[in-house]
Amino acid sequence: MSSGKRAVDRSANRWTGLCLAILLIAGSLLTACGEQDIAPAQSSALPPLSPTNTPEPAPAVGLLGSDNLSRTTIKANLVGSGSTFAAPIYSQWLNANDPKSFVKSSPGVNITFQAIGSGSGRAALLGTPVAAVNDINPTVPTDFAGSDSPFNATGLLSASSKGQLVHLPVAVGAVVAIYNLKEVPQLKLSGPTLAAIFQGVITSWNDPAIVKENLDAKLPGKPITVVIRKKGTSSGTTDIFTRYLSVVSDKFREQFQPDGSFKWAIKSLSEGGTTLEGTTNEEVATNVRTGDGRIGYVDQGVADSDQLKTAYAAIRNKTGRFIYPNLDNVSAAASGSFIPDDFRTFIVDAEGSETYPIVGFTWLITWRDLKQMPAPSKDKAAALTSFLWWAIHQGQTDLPKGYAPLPASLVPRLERLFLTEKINNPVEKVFLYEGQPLLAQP
Amino acid sequence: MTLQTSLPPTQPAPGPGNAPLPPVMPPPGQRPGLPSPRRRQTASLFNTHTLLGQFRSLAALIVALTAIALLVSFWVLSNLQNDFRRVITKLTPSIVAGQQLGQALEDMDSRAADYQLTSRIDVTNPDFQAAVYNQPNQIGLRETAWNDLENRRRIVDNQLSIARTKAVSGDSTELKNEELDALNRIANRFYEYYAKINLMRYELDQGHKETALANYKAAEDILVGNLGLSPRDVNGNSKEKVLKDNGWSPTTFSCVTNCQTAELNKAVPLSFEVSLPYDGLAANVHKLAEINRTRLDHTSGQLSPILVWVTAVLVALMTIVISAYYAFITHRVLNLGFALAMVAGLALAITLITSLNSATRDYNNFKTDFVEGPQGIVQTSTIQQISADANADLSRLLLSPDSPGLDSTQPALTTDVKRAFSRDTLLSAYENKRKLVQKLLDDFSNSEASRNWSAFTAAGQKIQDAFRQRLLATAILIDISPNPANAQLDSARLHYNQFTAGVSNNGVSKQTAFDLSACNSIGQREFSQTTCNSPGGGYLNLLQLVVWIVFPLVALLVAGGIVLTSRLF
Repeated sequence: MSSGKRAVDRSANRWTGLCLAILLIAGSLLTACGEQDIAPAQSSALPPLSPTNTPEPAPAVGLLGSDNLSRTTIKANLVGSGSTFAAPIYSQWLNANDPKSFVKSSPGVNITFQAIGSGSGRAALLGTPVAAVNDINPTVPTDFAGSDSPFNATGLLSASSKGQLVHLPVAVGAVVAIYNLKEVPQLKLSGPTLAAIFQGVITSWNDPAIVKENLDAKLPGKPITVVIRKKGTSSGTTDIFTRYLSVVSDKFREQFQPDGSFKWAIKSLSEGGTTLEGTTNEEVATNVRTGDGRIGYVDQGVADSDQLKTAYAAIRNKTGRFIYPNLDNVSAAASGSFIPDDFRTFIVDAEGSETYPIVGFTWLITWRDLKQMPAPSKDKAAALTSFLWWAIHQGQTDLPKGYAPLPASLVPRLERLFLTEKINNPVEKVFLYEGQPLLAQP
Repeated sequence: MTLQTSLPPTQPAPGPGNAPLPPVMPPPGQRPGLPSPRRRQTASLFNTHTLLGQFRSLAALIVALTAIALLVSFWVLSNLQNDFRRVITKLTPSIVAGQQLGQALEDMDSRAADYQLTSRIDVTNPDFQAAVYNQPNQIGLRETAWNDLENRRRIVDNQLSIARTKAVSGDSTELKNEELDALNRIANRFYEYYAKINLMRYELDQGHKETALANYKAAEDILVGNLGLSPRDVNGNSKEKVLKDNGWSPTTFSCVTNCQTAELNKAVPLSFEVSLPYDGLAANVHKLAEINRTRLDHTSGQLSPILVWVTAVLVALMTIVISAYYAFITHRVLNLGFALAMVAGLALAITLITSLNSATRDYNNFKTDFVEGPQGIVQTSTIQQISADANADLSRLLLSPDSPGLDSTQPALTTDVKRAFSRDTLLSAYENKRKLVQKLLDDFSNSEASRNWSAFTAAGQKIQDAFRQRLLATAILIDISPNPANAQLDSARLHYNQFTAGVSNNGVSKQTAFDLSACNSIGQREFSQTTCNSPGGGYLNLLQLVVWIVFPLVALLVAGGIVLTSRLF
């Protein structure tokens, strides 16, 4: 190619990049303004990207656009591991029979998600061996983790030798306090009372604290049997639940160890106590359903599922209202919460009268520089970036029952992870491949 | 042997210069040409044509000299004693109060940053660690930071009260007003500052971390004079702030433009010309110390012991002369009066010379060694202030919007706040202060302090590394945990505390030495609660007593000598 033609091409490429960036920003604005509570569906397509085969050094590679690939033509295999809480979401997004799913619109991309638990998913992302869960052997290297709790500082420190991690919230879910008490079809509980139950301080259903909150109910004098997730295993659902109880109860917070780990004070059967344990949300729900007077916690999706339908309590929120979770008040909780720039936070006990208080994000966690993925390739990086972009846009309208979309105000902040800007968004905050931003700067 | 008791009258030689004077007319009732009987008597008493007259004249001269010496000594010793008392009980304590005020303020600001830091890692943060935030039954770093802040506030209150008491006592109205003006500004600014810090705490308790940071910035502005009262540079910083961040120290603070930080040998060009406006809290604290240091410098100029030395030596010399002349004339060795006067005069002169030498040395020690010397109270406190500020910079760095835990889209995070807490600004300010402390420590022979400073700065590097890796909780633990959280971490706070304890030891030993010298000189001490062994004693008091006794004694002895001499002639 002659140098003159190359220069013309470069100039055209820059114009293309600029125009696409303007389109992207306009799309984002439409997203933010067009809908109040849910993220937009069709308005924000992943912008085509600028070419990369430029011979001169460029500040941004424009990887996705380098081969003029749209997400529909990328061919790559990706593996994700983690949250059982979020498994239904990935299942729906990756269902080839769902016309709205990602794989339907990107048939060349094959994504497998292994529901092995949040903690195991995070460990798998770092390449740490984890035990098989649900008969799934997570030895397949993981490109991304699905997790209901983010990495803490220790985890980030472990990862830092390899690279920096990015936490991308993809949905909001509620954790509910399920119970089995035939005499009481509707139960109301405040945070401190719930904390006292799960601390073993309140042991009977007719405890004055519960009675005071349920004056209309006939509470039996049965002992309370608590069901929790298996001690010693990492559970995102447990993280959300215990963080909430720690916010509303100083006494409950004492169970956090100086190093930040959480240690249940109540004793399980194997320790000579009465507390039952379950390996997964489903197992906890089953344990609660099979014994009278039991109480546990699972994600709302499990409690509402046809197979494991279980009654759950209305929880008192910050304004004093007892409230059951629904799409609106779960999403409102996320809207009313403080969300830092790295998106790592537990959004429990949010402000507002129309908010359900035990709410958490489920995150998709991956490497900032996608070169750190196992068997990395530009195609894999492009496919994953496409999937992530799709997840925070179109994916928000394709969530299964029991999961709320991200607050609309959060989406533009997440978009900044994809596209560098000249101002206020340093290159260090966006996805990279081999140290170069994936999308070209405008 | 015949004694010549009178000398022949000498006749003036005739000539043009010796023209006879016209006769003086006597007063009425007196014969012309003859002096009055009293004058005749006086003239005969001090008639230098007779030996007795000569001795009488010499003795009169000595008595006059002792009177002058007594007056001069009284004046100088009184001045000296007043200067000592002023330096010991007013100026030095005022300087120390100002320095401790500044140090407590910097420390307080550092603890406010710590409180904010620990509040960022609450239980909704995945990095929550009970050891950092709080434990219901065990005080965590968060409560410790607030308690420390409150302790510093009490020190500020206390030192303000001491400084005000010292300002009200003594000195001219003009100086007093200047000092009181600075103190009033400090008090007003301080309570504005404390109000902002309390707002910061309130916002943190509400979970509004960005608003809390904005309130902390407002408090900082009061500290460094970003009050909109005087021009600011392009970054919105006052001159006080620019100088402080560029390695400010009290000796380099009073420049107008193109300031030079002497210690770092670094030019700080200011983009705006303004004499130091003394708007901020820190600048007024500095001004307070500067007023008293200027007074201290002026006080030293009033010392004039040379006058005492001259008069005392003259008295001693004259007693020697009269004794020697007596011995020469009479060939007798001893006139008891003259001899004793000579001994007393010599002893007094030697005592005065050595004591005043010693007093001058002590005085200079108070000023140059105890107060302003390389390891003096001012330098000790300056090191502590700048190191506290450097330590605070590390905490402020972790508060930066560049660190995890903040929502940069929140409106409270204005451009001003982001700029004030930007990583580059804070790292540069920390680096300047680190270098400045290092430079000051080079003159500070305290190996323990130097070792701990090195350990602190090494931990500071680890904080920066953790910050760069966005490991906020790790950085916080290294920064403010009093002990290493685990074997892989370090504790900047531990090393910093050991460093300041080492530096404080120097200050305390200086104050002890100061008190000892104060007891020796004026029988009064300032810093220690205990009293001197002989309260109200001290060699300056003793010296005054000696002067009052010995100078008149010399005069009496000389007079006695004359009586003895009269019997001979």
